[in-house]
Amino acid sequence: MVNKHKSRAGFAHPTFIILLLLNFYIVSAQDLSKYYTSIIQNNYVLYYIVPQKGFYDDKNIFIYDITYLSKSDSIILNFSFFNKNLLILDSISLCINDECITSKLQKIFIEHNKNKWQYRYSSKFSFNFIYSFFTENNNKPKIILHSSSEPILLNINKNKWEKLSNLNNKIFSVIKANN
Amino acid sequence: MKKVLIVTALFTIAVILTSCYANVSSPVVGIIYTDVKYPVAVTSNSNSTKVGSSKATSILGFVATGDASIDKAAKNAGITKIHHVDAHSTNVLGIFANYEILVYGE
Repeated sequence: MVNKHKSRAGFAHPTFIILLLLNFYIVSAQDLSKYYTSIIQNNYVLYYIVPQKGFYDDKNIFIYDITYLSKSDSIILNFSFFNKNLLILDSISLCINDECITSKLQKIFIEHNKNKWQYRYSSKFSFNFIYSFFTENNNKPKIILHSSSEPILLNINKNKWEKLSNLNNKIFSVIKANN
Repeated sequence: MKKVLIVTALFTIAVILTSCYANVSSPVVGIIYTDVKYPVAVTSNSNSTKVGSSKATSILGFVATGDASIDKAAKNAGITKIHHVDAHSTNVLGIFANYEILVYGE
């Protein structure tokens, strides 16, 4: 006689599967505090959206983070761009819905690491533009880095952008609600 | 049910003992999932206007890469006066661990 319970023992046991699914639900549930921080200062709140990536040019990666002081009209976009060639970056353009806004770059540092140059720059944009840029999920945005040679066009995968724009929408909603 | 618990416990112990577990520094640790923010340092400098971060990651405890130093985080944001430093540790099932340093200053 075959023991029916024996065949469902171990990892195939329903209790184990339910516990496993519950664990993955807890793990995958979107906790916004992982993606941004906020600290209260004397007269304002300092928000920081931790580094996000997704924009690329061939094999060159672009990673950005956002810093915002509440009640301020401007927002700071810091970024790292990794490239094999030595460049002199001058300005950055954020393009969405056929509208491009350009900002001058302020160099933080340039380093050479693992056969690639790391360009670390800071730029300033208006809060309203950054909000509309990073929360737009109908159209894919583009980023253009203006260098000493030809401009570098950075694109993003559609699915990746959908996830990022949804996440940024939630973060900016929190910022706007507290502003 | 008892068998499942025994198998799960043995598996977890085996993973930890064989070092196939991506460990990460944290004041409180969860074997299944860790997502903890905690303080590292504070100075007498007033107010912060800049924030910088740096991180290191580990996969299964086999490969660990990155630079999670305060120096790197401060450098990333161009911070010259540090106000305070926080850390953020995440660990998923001992497979993927992430340690992030956040430096606030001006």
